Amino acid sequence: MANFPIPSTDSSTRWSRPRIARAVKSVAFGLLALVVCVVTVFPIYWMIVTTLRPTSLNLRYPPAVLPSQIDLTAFTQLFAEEAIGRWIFNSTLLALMATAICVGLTILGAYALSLLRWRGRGPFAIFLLMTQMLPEALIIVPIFAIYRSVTERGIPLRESLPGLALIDAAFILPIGIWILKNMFDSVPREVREAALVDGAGPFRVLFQIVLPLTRPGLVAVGVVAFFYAWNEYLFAQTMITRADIKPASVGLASMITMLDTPIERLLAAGLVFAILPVVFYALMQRYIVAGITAGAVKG
Amino acid sequence: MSVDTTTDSAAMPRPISRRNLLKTTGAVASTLAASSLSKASPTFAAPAVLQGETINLKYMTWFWYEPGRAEAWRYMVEKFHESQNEIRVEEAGWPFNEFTNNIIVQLQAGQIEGDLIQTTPDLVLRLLRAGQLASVQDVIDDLGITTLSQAHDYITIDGQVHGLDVVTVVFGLLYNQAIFDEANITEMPTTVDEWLDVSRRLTDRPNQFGMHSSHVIAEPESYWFQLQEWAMPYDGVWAEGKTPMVTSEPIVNAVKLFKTMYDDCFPQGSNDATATRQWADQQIAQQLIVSALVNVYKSTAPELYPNIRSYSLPWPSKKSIARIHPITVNANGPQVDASKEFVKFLYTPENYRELLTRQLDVIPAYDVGGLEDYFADLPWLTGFQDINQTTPPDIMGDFIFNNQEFGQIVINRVTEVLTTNRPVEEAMADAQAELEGLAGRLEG
Repeated sequence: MANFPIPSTDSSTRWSRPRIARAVKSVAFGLLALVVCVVTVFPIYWMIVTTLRPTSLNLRYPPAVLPSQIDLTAFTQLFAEEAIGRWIFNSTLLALMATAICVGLTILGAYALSLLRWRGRGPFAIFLLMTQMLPEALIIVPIFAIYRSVTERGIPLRESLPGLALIDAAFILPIGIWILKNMFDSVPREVREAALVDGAGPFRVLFQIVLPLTRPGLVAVGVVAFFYAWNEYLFAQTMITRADIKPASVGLASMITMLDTPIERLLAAGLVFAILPVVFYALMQRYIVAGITAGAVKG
Repeated sequence: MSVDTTTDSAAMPRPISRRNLLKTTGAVASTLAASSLSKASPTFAAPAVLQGETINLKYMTWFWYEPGRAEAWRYMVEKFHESQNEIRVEEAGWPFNEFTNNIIVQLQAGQIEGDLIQTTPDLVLRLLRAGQLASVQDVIDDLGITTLSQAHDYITIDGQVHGLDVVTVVFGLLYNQAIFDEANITEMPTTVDEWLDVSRRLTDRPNQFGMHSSHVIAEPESYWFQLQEWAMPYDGVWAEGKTPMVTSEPIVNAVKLFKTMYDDCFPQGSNDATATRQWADQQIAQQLIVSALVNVYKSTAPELYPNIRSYSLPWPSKKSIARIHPITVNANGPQVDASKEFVKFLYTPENYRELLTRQLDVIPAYDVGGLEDYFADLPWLTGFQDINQTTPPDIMGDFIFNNQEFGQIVINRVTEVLTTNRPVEEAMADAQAELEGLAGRLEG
C-alpha cells in the first residue's frame, strides 16, 4: 500500500521560517509603500486644507490636521482678482501647440534614427541626448537674442505663445525621439518589408504600418511634451511680459511679491493649475508606462 | 553628413530622394527668407512724434505687482494719458524677485526692451556702467529743481544725473501698538539691550513673537536685503572698496544680535509669506523693515493698519539704510524724448506730491513742499523721520555690483550660525575667505 503524504496541520510547519520571512517582508514592503504614499500625498492634502481654512486657523500652532471650518474666500478672491481663467487657457493653448510640434517632429526624427541608414546616425543620436544636459538657464541669453533678432525681421516669436511653444518643443524633442526610436526599433522588420514589397512608400510605411503599432509611444511623447510645456517657467517668464498671453506658470509666480504673498490664494491657484494635468494624466497613464518602457525588452 | 535614403530593407520602391529633399527645403527656406526680408526692409520716415502718431512707451517695473503701489502708479499713468494725447505708457516687467535677472538677460542679449526702466540701487549702477542710461539732467533743469536729494550723487556723472528717484524706502522699526499695549510696554527701547529685552517680553511662543526678520535661505533676496540693516546698530559696513569686512567687530556683533533674536524672539522658519500673514494676524510684534511695507498692509490688512507705529532706532547713531529706486530712461531705446516727457510729468511738484502720498512714501526725493498735512496724518511715521540715512554703496563698497552674490555667501554662513549653532567668528571667517575669493574674481 502506497504511503501518500498527508498535509501537516501542525502550526509549527505552517509558520516555518521562510514563510515568516516572506510575511515580514510583505508587511515591511506595505509599510514602506504607505510611508511613500503619505509623503507624496500629504503636501497636496495640506495645500487643499490650507485653501479651505480661514487664515487665522492656518496660523495656529500646532496646526489642526483636519479642517474645522470651510472657507472658500481664497477661491472667490482668486477668480475675482486674478486672471486665472485666462492663464489656464493660455497654458492649455501653449501645451497643445508644443505637443503638436513635438509629436510631429519626433515622428520624423525617430524614423530617421530608427529606420533609415545614414553615416553618423549613432553619434547624432548621442549628440541629441547631450542637448538635454544643458540647463535652461545656460542658454536663455542666446535664445533670447535669436528670438529678438528674428522678431525684428518680421517673424513675431517674442511675446507670442507659438514662439514659446517652439522652444518648449525643442527642449523635449531629444527625449521624445529616443522614446519613439525605441518603439520603432521594436516593430518587426518583416512587417515593414512586407509593406514595401506590396508597394508602399516610406511615408506610407511610417504612417500606416509603424505608427499604428507604436501608438503608446506616441502618446507617451505627447504627454511628456504636454507636461513640460504646462510647467515650464524660465523661458515663459523671460519671453512673455504681456499680461494677456501669460501662461499659468508665470501668472502664479506673479502672485509672489517681495513684501506680500497671499498664501491661500496662491495655493488655490496651484490647485486649479493642477486639475487639468491630473485629469489628463489619469486618462493617459496606461499609455505612458507602456510607451516609456517600450523597447526595454527586445526579442 | 550623407543620407542614404534606403531603409534597412533591401527593397525600397520609392526612396526619399536627396535631390527632392534639398529642392523642397531650399524652396521653403527661400520663401521664408524672402518674406522676412520684405518685412524687414527699412523705412525712412520721420519720427512718430513728428507725424502725430501715438507713441507707446514700455515702462518696465515691478510696481505693477505690488499691492497698493500698483494702484498709485496706474492712477498716475492714467493722469498722464489724460494730460496729453501723444504718448501712452504701457505696463511691462516682472515681480521684484525676477526683475533684475530679466533685465540682465535682456542686456546680455543686446538690448533692454523697455523705454523706461525702474531700477534698484545696485541695478542702476550696473546699467549705468553698461552705458544704458540716458541723462535726465534736462528734466531737472527744465523743472528748476535745485534740491534733489544727495542720494542721487552716486548716479551723477559729470554733473548729469542718470535717474530720478521715485521711491525711497528706509528701514525702521515697525511695531503693533495693540501688542505693546497688551504687554504694558509704554517706554520704547533706546539701546540695543533694551530692544532685546522688550522683544523677549513680547515673545510667547508659539502664539506670539517679539521680533521678525527674514531668515529663510530659500528666500535669499529678502534675507540679505534685511540682514544688511542689522549692521547699523554697530555702525558696521559689509565691505570697504574691494575688502570684505565680515570679520570686523561690528559685523560679528551684528550677526550675534541676529542670532540672539532668532533664538529668543523670531518665528523660526517662517518664510516671508507666512510672516506677513502672522504680522497681519497680530502674532508678530515688531519688524526691522522698510516703510514701504505699510502700504502693503493698508491694502491687504486694513484692520491692522490703525495699530501700526514706529519708534526711533535704539542705537546712538540712528543710522539706517535708505534705498532709492530711480526711474531711468533707456539711452538705446527708440523713444528717449517721449520717455523724458513722462519723467518730467512725474517730477512736476504737484504730480510728485500726489505720487508720494498715494504710495504712502515718506521720503521725498526733492523739497517738494506741501506735505505737512500728509505727514501729520501718518501715525506710524515718527520712527522713520528720526534716522540718519546711509546708502547701499556706502556699506557695500565695490561689491555693490555683486550685491546678491556677496549676500548669498554671507547668508549661507549666517544660516549655519542660526541652525547649527556654529560660532559666529568661525562662520564669518569662512565667509571672509570666500568673499576675498569673490573680490579676486572681480579684479580678474
